[in-house]
This record gives sequence, structure tokens and C-alpha cells, in this order.
Amino acid sequence: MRKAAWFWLALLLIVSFFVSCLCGRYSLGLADFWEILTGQAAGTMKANVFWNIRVARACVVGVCGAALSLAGFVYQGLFSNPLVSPDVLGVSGGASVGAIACILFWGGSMGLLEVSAFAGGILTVGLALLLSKAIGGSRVFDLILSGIILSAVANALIMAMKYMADPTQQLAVIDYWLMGSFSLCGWEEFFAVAPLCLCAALVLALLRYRLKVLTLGDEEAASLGIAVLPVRVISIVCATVLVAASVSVSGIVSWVGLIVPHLVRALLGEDFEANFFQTALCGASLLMLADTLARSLLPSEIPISILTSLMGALFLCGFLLWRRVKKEG
Amino acid sequence: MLEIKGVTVRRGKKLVLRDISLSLIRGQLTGVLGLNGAGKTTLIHAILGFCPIAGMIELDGHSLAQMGAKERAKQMAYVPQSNQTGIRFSVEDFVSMGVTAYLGAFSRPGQVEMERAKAILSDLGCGHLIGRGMDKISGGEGRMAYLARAVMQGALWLLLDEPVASLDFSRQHTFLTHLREYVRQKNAGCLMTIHDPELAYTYCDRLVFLHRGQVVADLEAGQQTELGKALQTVYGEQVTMDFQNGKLIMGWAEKKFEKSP
Repeated sequence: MRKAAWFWLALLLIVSFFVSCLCGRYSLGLADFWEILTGQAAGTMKANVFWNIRVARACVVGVCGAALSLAGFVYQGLFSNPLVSPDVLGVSGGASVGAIACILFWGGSMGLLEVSAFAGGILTVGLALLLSKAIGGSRVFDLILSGIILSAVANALIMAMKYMADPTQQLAVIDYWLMGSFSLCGWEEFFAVAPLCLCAALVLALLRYRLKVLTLGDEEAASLGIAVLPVRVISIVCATVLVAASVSVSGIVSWVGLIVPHLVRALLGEDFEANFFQTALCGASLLMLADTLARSLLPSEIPISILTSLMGALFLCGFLLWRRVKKEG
Repeated sequence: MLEIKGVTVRRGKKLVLRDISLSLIRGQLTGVLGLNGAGKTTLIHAILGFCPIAGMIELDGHSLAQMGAKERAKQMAYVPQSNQTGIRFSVEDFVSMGVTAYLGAFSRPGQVEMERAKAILSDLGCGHLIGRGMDKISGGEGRMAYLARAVMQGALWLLLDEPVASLDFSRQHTFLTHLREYVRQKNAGCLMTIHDPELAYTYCDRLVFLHRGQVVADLEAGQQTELGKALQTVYGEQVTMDFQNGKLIMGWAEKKFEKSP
């Protein structure tokens, strides 16, 4: 089952990428694809669309899908809470505040946008942890509460910045950005996001066994020889880098970080270290498919969070019903 | 030798442990008894470095406070009070985590460690748990998995916090029998908090009684007179005790309540 899972995941990734590159308003068929691949269409419009728009965008979407899913997986493991995600912890909101502030006050250049998004995200996670400790009581519940509080604060700040924004130029940019979209993503965005995400993911991959032991709780992990605080801090920073990098190029893409880890566990079984990589592959594939749908369903492109939120909510509902039926059966 | 010297622990304003001094040697199973809230779990946590202490704890002359998590884990294995719920690893995966302290910074247990984990489970009479999920086994089986993990850790000191509290009668004896065998075979030191004085007397070489954060008695097995006094100091004067075939039999004298006029 496990070996078959890897095969199907790889196939899904390839098919998703392939579909993402061929589908869109500028029609590209299999024959066009062959001509582009063999160089027969070099210098033509279709080759330009394929390489510089479709492939570039698919690469960005794949990286962001993997990044958001992996961040959700790591957060859920670190906080031993299946309901935690970058959205619930407030990381997405905090990263958005940073990014929107950059657009509004500092021109919104790519490098500065990433730094601002990261700073906003890491500040929010830190505040969520401090607030949850200050609240006291149940650890799991208080972390969620803290995330909700900080998300509300982030939303308030975002609304305030929208109020201050120039309605003729900046407001529309901010609004569309908040709904999430990869429409302006190309190779520049890929080379800005991919190295960051790759480094963060690599560090997390190296730490994945320690993350697994940490799911037993701090005291047990420490008794087994894990340096709890450094592993937690590094993991939180890396997961936040993944979220912030994604948010900086696409805006908020909801639900991916929450749903994909659960989907992987439900379909492929619970093996923490295998699930780590499977979550990234699955997240990349699903977001590419969602992005393809967002571009293709209607004449104008739908902001991707509309689709991911709808799909995520429907999936969660269906999963909970299925789980109940399975229990009773 | 594990030396606890003048250890005091505060939680907030409350003094949980007061000036505790104990010297523990290897090859000995030491039971710590006391009422709920006497400080038994806090004593274990203090040794493991889970809480700040005043005083000193030394292992073979080296201060534990100077030891990093890895080094401490190589010396001491911990079995917590209750099984973690929601662990979705396989039992052998869980047991193999005992080698974590010996792994490189980015290493993980491999096939060799897995086979060793399975062998330990078989040696403990738990071969039937191999391949099963930790969330699919009973509480007693989970306790044995924890013991197997402690064995896998290869530490010469075991710290167990009420390891048999939730087990049925036969599993209590099975667990403690395996524990005592391990302590004898490996010449390991073991400190165990336990509620049941009868079990403690049967399996432990030494009994330490904690009452209101202080050591009120520190006895070798066989000191029957002192044991009676310690039991009554901790549990009250209604406690009765007797010995039969070398086993401690505890009782509780009924108190007659006088009707108020």
C-alpha cells in the first residue's frame, strides 16, 4: 500500500502539472505540447505562453501548495492539535498584514514583500504562543483561541490599511491579493519563493524524526534526549517561512494547510515521516488542480481562495460524515 | 550513585518538596510512597530536570544540572504516569524511540533499531504487540511498551511514575516482575513512585515515604517495625498491617463515629 501510494502521488503530481500547463484561455493541445517540447514551435506565441506563463505559474503554484500543506502538517504535529493550520494560528493573517503594509507604504517590491510577510507571520506566531500561555488552562484550546484573537487583530489592521489605501489604485490590488491569486506569478516569483521554501523544507525534512518524537509531548521528548526548545523554535520559524513565502506571492490561500495533512492521513495511513513528504506532494498537486479550475471555470479568473475554501469546507464535511458512518458501521 | 542533596521545589507559592536528601544505588529498586500531593511525581520531575530546583542532584559525582538532554537520556529512562493517548505509531516504532539520544543530529532509527525493538518486546512477553498501533492496544499493553522503550534506551537508571496505577491485578504483578528482573540483570538503579504499599513491599528493595513534601521514612525491605510507623504517619492511624509468608497485608480499621448528643 505504501509503495503504491508513492507511485500514485508521483503520477498525480505529473498529471496535475501537465494539466496545469495545458489548460487555460489560450488553448494548447497535445500536438502543440509535442511541438513545444521538440523545439518545433520555438519563438512562437504558444511556446512563450507555455514556458513563460503556464510552466512558470504551475511551478509557483506547486511550490506554494507544497509549502502551505507542509506548514500545516508541521504546525499540527508541533502543537499536537489536528485543528491547527496557518490560518487558525493567525500566521496567514499576520503575514498578510506585513505584505499589505509593504504594498501600501513601501512600494511592494518582491524582496521587501517577502521580508514583511515573514516578519508579520513570525510575530503573530510568537504572540499566539505567549498569549496562549498567559490565558492558561487547556493548552490545545488556548492556542486556538489565541490564534483566533490574533487573526481578528490582523483582520482589523488589514481593514484599517484598506481604509487608508488609495481607492483608485491600491485598494483593488490589496483586495484581489487578499482573495489569493497566482495570476501575476511568473519566473521572477518562482525564483523568489522556491529557494526560500526549499531551504525551509529541507531543514524540516532533516528534523522530521525529532518532530515526530515531539508529538509525544515536551517532557517525554526531553526524557528521550530531544532538545525541545531549539527544535520547536527552528520548526516554527521554518513553517512560518513556508507560509510567509507563499503569502508574499499569492496572497491568502485558505484551507490548504488544514485539509491536505488530514487528507493524506485519511487516505494513506498514519506514518509521520512518510506523511511529511506525501503531504508536500499532495498539496502541490491539489493546488495546481485548484488553480487550473480557477482559471478555466469561468471566462474571468476566480480568486483561488474561493475554490480552496469551498472545496476544503465540503471535504471536511464529507470526511466527518464518512468517519461517523464508518464508526457506526 | 544518584545523590539528591537538599532539594527543594516550589510551584508558585507552594512548597512541594522540602530539603529532600536521598542516595540511591544501582541494583536496587526503590519505591516512593505517599498520599496524593505528597510530592512523589515532583521528585521524579526534579531528577529529570522538568522543574527548577534549589539544591543539587548528582549522578556518579556529576551534577545533572550541567547535563544536556542527550546525555541525561543516556543515563536515565522515564516512564510517565499515564500512557499518551492518540499516539498513532506502531508499537515497535514507539519502542525504537528509546535510541533517540544515541542518534546523530539528523539521523533516525533504522532497520537494526527496529529489529532490536522487536526483540525487546518479545523478551518482555509482548511479541504479540509487534505491528499493532499504540492507539489500538490496552492500557496494560501500553505500559509494557513504555517499559520496552525504557529498556531500549539502555539507561542504567529508570524513573517510573506510578507505572502500575491503571493496571489490573495480574498485569501489575507481571509489569513489576519484569521490572525487577531488568534491575537485577542489568544492575540498574530504579526509582518508582507507587501507591500500593503491598506491591511496594513485595517488589522493592527500599521504601521511601514522602509526607507533605518531606521524607519521613527511608527503609530497607524487612524493617517491619519502622514500616508500621511510616505507614501510620503517612496514611493515618486506621492503617493496619500484618505479614503472611513474608508478604505485607494491609488493612483499614473501621472508626466508630460517636453520635452527637
